[in-house]
Amino acid sequence: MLRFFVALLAAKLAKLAITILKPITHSEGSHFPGQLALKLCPDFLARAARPELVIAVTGTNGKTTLSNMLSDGFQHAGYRVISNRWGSNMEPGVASILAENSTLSNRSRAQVAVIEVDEKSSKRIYSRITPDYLVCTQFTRDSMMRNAHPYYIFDFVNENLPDGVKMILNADDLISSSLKKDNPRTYYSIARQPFDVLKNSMVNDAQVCPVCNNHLTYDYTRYDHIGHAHCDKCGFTSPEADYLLTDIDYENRIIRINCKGKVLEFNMVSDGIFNTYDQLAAISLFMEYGIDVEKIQNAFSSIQVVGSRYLTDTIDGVEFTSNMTKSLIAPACSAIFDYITSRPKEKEIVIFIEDPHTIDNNAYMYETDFEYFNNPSINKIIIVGKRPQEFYLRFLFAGVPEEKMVQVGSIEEIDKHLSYKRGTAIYFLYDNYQVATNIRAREIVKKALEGGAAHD
Amino acid sequence: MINIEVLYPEVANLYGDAFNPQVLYRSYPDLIKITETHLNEKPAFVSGDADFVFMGAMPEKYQELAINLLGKYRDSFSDYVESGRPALFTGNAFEIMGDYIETDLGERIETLGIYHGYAKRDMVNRYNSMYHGVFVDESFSGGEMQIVGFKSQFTKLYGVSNDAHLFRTIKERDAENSSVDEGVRVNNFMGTYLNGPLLIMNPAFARYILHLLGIEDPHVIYEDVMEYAHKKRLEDALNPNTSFAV
Repeated sequence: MLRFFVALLAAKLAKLAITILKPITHSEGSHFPGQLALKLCPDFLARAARPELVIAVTGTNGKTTLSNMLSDGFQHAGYRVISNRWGSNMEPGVASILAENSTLSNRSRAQVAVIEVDEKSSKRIYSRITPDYLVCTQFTRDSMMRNAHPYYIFDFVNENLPDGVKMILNADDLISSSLKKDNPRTYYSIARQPFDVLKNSMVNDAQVCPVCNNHLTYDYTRYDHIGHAHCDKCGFTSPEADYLLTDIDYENRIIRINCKGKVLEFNMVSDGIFNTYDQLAAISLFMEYGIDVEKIQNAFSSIQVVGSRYLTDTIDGVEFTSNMTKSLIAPACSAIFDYITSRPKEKEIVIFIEDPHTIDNNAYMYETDFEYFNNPSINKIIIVGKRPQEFYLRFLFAGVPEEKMVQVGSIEEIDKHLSYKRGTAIYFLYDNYQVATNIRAREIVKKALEGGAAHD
Repeated sequence: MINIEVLYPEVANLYGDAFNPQVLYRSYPDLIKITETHLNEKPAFVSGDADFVFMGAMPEKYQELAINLLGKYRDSFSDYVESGRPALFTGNAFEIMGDYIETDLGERIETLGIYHGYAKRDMVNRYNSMYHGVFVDESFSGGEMQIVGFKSQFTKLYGVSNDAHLFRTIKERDAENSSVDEGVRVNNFMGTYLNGPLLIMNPAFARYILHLLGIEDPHVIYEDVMEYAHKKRLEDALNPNTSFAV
């Protein structure tokens, strides 16, 4: 026990040092205090004081957005909340927030902990902390090098999550909705919408009936295997939702949810389908926990989705938008490509989604729907990077005409290839390793437009 | 029409492997067709309707299902291989044709015994590596064909005799793996862990497959671009400063 208190004190001092030095280091150092605590006391997580309510958030995409919504929502409702939203979703990050929010006598200052849990950290975290709730966004393809495939991740989480944890699950995902079959569970789902079709995606990881191995029939898919399916042979169907989002009113920015028979309205935080699922998951959790409906509605009047991944400006009639795109992850890329290419206006695309510092396995490109770029509204694709020929080849296979494509070695070369035609749009698709390159790209375009480059 | 049969595409579709038969088809769309055999369907190779059989990587739980379903047709597939007709199984797909798969718990999953060798799973440690090797078939390339690609796997192959490998390894991530040749070959049944996808990254090997399908003087679609991309990857592999850890 002494070891634990030494670790707790060390973590707090480390956090203090990081805070003092931040103006110099510009570093949050968010997981270092936790790393130190775990080094000194390997079962720190099991011993640290925990708030009354612990919510774990997991899934391939949307963990951070959902964690933020949950944290903000509970705060709006008057709870003291801790979360690792700004930090690591692995064991040191969780240890850091527990250390920071404990008193020196190991009492938690917070009432609620919202813990974003990386799927691969399930064993280390859940063996020491049993959450009250687990909210899962979905399991789709991720980095093949790290997470292999969704069934591997499913097994990882399923084997390590304790029995008895209350589950809040996505009924539109036939993989994650099967987690911990004997745990109490609540399902959320988005009902069929006017825009829903059966997408001809390259990837669908849940094509086989889990009961009879027959080929499933999908009524619609939104991305990957996320949608609604049934088996014509044995009658299996996607689970029925307790919280069913029935209407998305984009004009008035309202969503309507049938909450176990009662229809409630909430402000829509984002018009992206990914974020709508996250909002629905958050509302499901709040309702299940018993938060007053009015408080939830008020919370969603002011909650915003973190905008760091999408930035848009218009100068002299030319719109330019940056969209962070998680390279190496097929469904995430496909969803962004779908969204960007379906935007109105003629457009030019500048794509630089390689990690410049490593040798990338680009096999993911052949699971990604580059076919979206075979679109008459796209006038040009400028491919930037150290291996532009591989992207060029994939675009050729996708049906993009050769004459629409340019390969350049550096972002500095994009200016001469952009048309700057008024009424059109430029989209920058960049990986999170290319943040500085994106900033530079925007500077180049901004300078050109402010210098009068736009024309009719 | 040359019929490429793709087995169980609804599950054997990981890591871009499903694009391998597309390279062949799109190179000769007037001569080649692709047919898919789904789970619970009788494969085309049973009735002699397949000229090439392909299967890609799949989640481990579906390997056992594939073994159970294909087990009924094991003798037919053995005849297919004995006849010298070509097949390519990528990723963990070719493991189902060995002697057995050993799980993390030491349990044995009996497999179809088309080649001698076995796979051992380690679901905790994923092996990721760049790969450089050579392929030799005097009848076609007349010499060594440089092979580049990637490996991303939970299993390792053991017990394959030296003369039964598909590629001779030049380099992988670590010395131990660099000393072991890659994949399996029995007649024209070929199995390899390489992804990238394999035929996208190795247009010469794709031409070899087309040659096995009976196409004279074969060329692949977008050949110049594929060759250039291959050349750049080979430069990376030959650069002593390149880390093969991915």
